[in-house]
Amino acid sequence: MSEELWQRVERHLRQVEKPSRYIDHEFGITVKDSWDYHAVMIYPDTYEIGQSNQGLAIIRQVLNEVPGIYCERGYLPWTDMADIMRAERIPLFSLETYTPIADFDLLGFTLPHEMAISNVLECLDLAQLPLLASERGEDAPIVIAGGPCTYNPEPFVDFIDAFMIGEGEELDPEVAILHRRLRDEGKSKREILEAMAGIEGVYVPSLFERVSDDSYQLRCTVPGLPDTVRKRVYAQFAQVPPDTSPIVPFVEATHDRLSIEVLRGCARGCRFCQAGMIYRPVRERTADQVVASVINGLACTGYDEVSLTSLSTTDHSQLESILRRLNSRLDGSGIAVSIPSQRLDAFGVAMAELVAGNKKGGLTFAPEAGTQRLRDIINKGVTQENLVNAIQRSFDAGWRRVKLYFMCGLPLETDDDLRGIGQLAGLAYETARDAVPQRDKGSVKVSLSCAVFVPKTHTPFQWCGQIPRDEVKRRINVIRSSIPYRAIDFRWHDPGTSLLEAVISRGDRSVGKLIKRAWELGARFDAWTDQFHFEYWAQAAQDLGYDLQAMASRSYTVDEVLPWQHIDAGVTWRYLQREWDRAQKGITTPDCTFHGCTGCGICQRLGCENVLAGERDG
Amino acid sequence: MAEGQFRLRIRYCKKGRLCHLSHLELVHAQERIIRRAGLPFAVSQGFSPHMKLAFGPAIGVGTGSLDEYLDVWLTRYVDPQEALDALHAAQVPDLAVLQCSYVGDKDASLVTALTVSQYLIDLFPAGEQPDLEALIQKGLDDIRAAGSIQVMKKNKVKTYDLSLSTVEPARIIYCEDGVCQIELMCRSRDDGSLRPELFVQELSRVAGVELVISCLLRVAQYVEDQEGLHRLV
Repeated sequence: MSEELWQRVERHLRQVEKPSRYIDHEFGITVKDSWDYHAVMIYPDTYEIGQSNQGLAIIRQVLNEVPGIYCERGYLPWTDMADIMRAERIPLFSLETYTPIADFDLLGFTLPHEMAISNVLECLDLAQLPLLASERGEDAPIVIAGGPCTYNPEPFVDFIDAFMIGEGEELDPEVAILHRRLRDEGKSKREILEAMAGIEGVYVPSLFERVSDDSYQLRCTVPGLPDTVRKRVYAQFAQVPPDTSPIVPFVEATHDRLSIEVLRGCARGCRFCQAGMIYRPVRERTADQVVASVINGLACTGYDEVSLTSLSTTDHSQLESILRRLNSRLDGSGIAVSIPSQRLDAFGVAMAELVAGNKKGGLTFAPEAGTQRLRDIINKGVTQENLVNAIQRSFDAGWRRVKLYFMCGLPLETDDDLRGIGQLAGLAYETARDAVPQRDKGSVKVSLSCAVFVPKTHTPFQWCGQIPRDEVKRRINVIRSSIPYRAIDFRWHDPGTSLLEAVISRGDRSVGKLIKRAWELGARFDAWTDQFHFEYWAQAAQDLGYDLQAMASRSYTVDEVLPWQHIDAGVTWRYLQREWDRAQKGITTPDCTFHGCTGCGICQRLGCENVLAGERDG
Repeated sequence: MAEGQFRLRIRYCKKGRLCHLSHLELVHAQERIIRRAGLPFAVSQGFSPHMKLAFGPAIGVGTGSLDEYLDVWLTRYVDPQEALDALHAAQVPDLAVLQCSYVGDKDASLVTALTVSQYLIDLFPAGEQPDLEALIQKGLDDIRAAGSIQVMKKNKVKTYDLSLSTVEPARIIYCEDGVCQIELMCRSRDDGSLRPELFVQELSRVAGVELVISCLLRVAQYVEDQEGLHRLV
């Protein structure tokens, strides 16, 4: 515990917003008296955003279970505190022991989304560490990164020593234990990184080089190591109960509730969705396990709300049983159960009814595209009839607000598809009004939210470019003019943010220079609307002679080697190509957890199959 | 109080790093401690059911306390010592529960009853200040002589009449090693209570020295009646 560092920080806590971000001492923290290996996992955003992150909580837990290893938390201070720290030369610190980040053995970041990367640089700079991995010496911590964005690590390789690809439950302890041993043997950083690269799932970019200037193909320069890095998957997920004693924050976190991960993976196969590809296979925890974890977790934490989290909770084969049992056990306790999103069918609404009780706020449905043609192309297995039935049933059951999510700029999209969005929203509005009594018609609220399609790696749409910003504006206008009722609220995502997401999500190693320059110009907290300044990125691109629009809208042919092709996410390239081919023909592919195998290759290649607690219905 | 409900009064502290909690954060933390303790709390009825509890006068961000209170309504009687033990097992150390006891249905609410707060404020000058005690004493004397404090609040001048806003004049407890501790007895008022930070701001201005608060502690809260000040428990 660095009491001196804490006192230097505390002196300024009266000057900053939400000082409780920096005080530690929450219920449920891990305290250790001694350790011989010190790790810190940093979420590159504020405390209240990062504290909710389940991925880092899992990594900390598995590392802290290893004798002798102490893994702490770190977050990026808000701008007011960061400015003070720079002025006062206060280094970035861990929360539990207030140790300077530069003094740790291992420094881990999660990269939850593309726009977080400027905050990683901000953290490194506040930690008084060189930004570039090549400039960090033997005494600096090994800097690792994990999370969904590392499935294309190339834009970040300038800053990170090693990437953890896939699920970290087993991978991260293996890496830390190896590092501790080699450190104690006096090995150099280079030797340690080479040894780490021998662990499946670890990508050490400094050991890879391009085969030629004409191609993105990379090869590993260390003899005996493979040229591709395959993701790790935690096969035991369904057998091991979730953590039921997480840290209970004082600051109101973005997800200020108990989270119980009920299943991992989704095999719906939406062709734009990266999560649906990289988290395969599907693994469900049993109803007994989930119910017991919820009851234990609530007793341990004192939370008054629990969320059953996953990519598609309503797909859990035992969800109805879980919700009925929880309702029975929690009746009269004032405890709310929530599920993060609703499946767009009658079953989805029935499940929403089970968790809502009398408190019916709003429902969210995601048809994603306005016509059946385009929904088939993106493999979003819902129909107009599904939507109408779901709206009918939910408004009949007492809901009065519904939010519809769509995307624009999807591959093969036409103006008819865009007009279809407005027409579908209009149909939803009419259905909702028809379903409620006369006195409630004025309270019916349908809102429409439209995101700009960002092509993601390891998806069937990874070869497709993003539409230009001017075209985004035109298409938004097509949607807006097709909405038949003024009562429908229409919002859309900022095209500037979406453009940068596209640049970074499919970028190559040259994007690192763009990121560094944008940060030097002032970019930080880019995911915060009020902090995001597109001009920093535009200026950075101009300084480097880059064309952001060309980078975002670049389409690849399926024969080209892609900058992320050396990362093996489990699903085969052939499967992705086949899915892209089927998309162009408008042919859908079923979900293998409801129907037969669709040949994505995960189960055979990773030796880990779908694990269902029961038979899925839907 | 609804039939079959028991009003348990909990006295606790807020100290150490947790003095930086806001009142809302403190409320949520206490709710969770009570849930973890497994006390049979009553739940309000209505659209958004929640735990039935009531807090004493709010305490600000950055202010510690040795004397905070809350009332929680229980659906069955729990021996106060058992409740105390359960709360101890569920608490975080810097929000330690000090006492538990039942109070009557007709007793005044905590906010109504507790109208006087006793603060100890540790101050140090922003720069070198060899004659700190004399400067502060003169500042306190000048404030006392003025009889009121005027501060700007949202472009409006707010005047605190010290005969109403404080129980007795602020005084120096000690002054050594560059730190001066003063005591301030503030009264809660419907038209706005004097916060210690505002008092220090005025003291800085009057004394002509920038004073920085290093520690602000509410050491006690009192019930005030015609006979004077009394502790609640």
